[in-house]
Amino acid sequence: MVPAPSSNDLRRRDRIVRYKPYVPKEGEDPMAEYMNLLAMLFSMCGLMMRFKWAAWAAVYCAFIGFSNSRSSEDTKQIFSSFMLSISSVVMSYLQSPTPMAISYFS
Amino acid sequence: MSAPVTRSLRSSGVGGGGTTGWEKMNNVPIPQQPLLSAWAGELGIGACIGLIECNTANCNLGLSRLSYVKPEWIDGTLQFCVVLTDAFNWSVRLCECPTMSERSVMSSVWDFVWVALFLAVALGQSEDPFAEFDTDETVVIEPDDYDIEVENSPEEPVAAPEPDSLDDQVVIEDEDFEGINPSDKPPSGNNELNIVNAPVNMKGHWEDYYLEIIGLIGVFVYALNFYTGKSINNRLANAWFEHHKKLLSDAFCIVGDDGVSKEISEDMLVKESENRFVLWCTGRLGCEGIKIEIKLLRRQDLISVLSQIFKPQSDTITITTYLSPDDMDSVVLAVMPRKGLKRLQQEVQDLAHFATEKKTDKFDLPSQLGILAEFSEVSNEFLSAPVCKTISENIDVFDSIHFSDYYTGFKISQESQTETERPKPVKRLIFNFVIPGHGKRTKSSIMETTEPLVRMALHMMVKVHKFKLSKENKNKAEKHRIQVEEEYLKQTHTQRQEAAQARRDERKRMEKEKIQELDPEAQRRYEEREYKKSMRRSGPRVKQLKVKTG
Repeated sequence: MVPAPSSNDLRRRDRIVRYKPYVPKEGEDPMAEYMNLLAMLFSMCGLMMRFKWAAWAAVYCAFIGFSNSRSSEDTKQIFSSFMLSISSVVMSYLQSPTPMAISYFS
Repeated sequence: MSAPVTRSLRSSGVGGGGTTGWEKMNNVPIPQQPLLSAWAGELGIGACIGLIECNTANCNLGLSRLSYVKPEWIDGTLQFCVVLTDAFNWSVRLCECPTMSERSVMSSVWDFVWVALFLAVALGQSEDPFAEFDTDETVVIEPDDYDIEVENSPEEPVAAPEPDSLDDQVVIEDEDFEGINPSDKPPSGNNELNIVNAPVNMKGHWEDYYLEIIGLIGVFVYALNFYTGKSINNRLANAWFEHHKKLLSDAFCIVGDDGVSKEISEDMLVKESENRFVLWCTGRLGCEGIKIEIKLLRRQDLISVLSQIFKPQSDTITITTYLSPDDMDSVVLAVMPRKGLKRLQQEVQDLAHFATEKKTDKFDLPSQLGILAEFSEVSNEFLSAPVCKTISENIDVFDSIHFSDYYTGFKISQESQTETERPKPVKRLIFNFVIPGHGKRTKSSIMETTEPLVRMALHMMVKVHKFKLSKENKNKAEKHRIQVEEEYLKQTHTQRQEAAQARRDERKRMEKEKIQELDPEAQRRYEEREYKKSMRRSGPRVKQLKVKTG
């Protein structure tokens, strides 16, 4: 076994340095950002083109974006993508309450 | 027929200003699909178009709903009858929905496109009948031959058409089609009713919403996984912290500063995301502090959980020691798995510049590990027998160590080099540990396995602080670093020059643009001034000439 760090106390009060919260660099782990963007795009498709599958995809993207987001990220953006995607689902079913057809995908 | 069917189809014109629209239309029994087929098939395209327009005009129903029509239904003349039927079903249903009064621009566009499309198709087949049907007119259809009698509806009586009011109201009877060439009739007409399967009204069948149900279940499962995964990650991170707390507080004055609060906080495990936790320890001789990153699997994300099945990954612990310039001599050393050794040596800048692969024979290390170091002296000093023993005993937990006094991270790719500069070299000790089990065993006790290696890291920090390179190697190391620095400066010199030139050009262009806006007199003055300036720049030579001539 490695011996425990020196029996002398190495703690020094004068060497205390505050923690600098990590700022994520651009392009580092962009999963959450991509998912937010996709959620926006899909909900736009759902709202404008009445694609129900796009509205559902937006909901899923918003969820994935939310679960992969960093705590330091702007919660407003995540919240807005959530609201937009849910509203696109609601609006598309209010407009035409028919079920989603598989043929939409083809 | 003994029991004639009575129908009235009334159109009020686009906008539905005059008549009541679908509120009244709803009181009229919905025509049966075969009946509509009969009308459409027999009366010809004109009647169909009239009906389509009647629909759109009265109920503000989006013809975009007609996208519901499958291609296979579009078949000669009967396509209209199918479209019609569909439109009827839709219109009746959608009228029940109060929000339908607010129609978006997009659906209006779709309506337009659909109407245009149908008109184009219809015109392509028969031109003449359309002239007889105006959307602003009442249409009464009486196809006697098929025992279908169309009369006024009880709610809204339609006056019997008079000869002088034919411009406004058109009564369609069989005589109206006298002028039509039989060849204009659809081939399938032929006095035979052709009944087509119209789209079924789905109303009331929740089984038809199976895709939506699957979608909702998916959302529910995702949310459930989010909460369970999140709580597992929290539990694991806290278990690691609780277990190592004593060890760390014996070594550091402050364990767990969040860096945000005004006063220095303690025991704060900073949560960067649902699967990343950071612990900052500071107040120790030989270092500014250590950052312990607990990088757990994305258990909160169902997609990552599923990808874990195909590509298993592990939870990792990274301990980065921040050293001040006096805390460390020139040391570059890395112990990491042989598998990625070559790639890392190319990608990590300080390893690429200074380190060479050393033989592992004399060290009691597992065969899968390789050593990169600047000098053998360094590897001999740090990879002492106890250290090698600890690594061997905990090889399933050990991943890599990397000591560097010239740490600049990974190499920047050529494309992005122009934009981002190389970070300033810093002194770092980086320890990477892996939680065994590839994330399958999520018991809290598994997090305790890193303890011997954390002890080793603390031990090595003391060693690094005490270590002094021999004079000969120190000189060599300094030479290496100067060389690398010069290379970097040379490399960036041309880039800097180019950037400066670009800035100068931009300034000149801006000035020129500004001058062009001025009046000619000001422009002349500016040019004079510029000329004088340039003369002054080459001043001394001119003076010399003057002296000579004088």
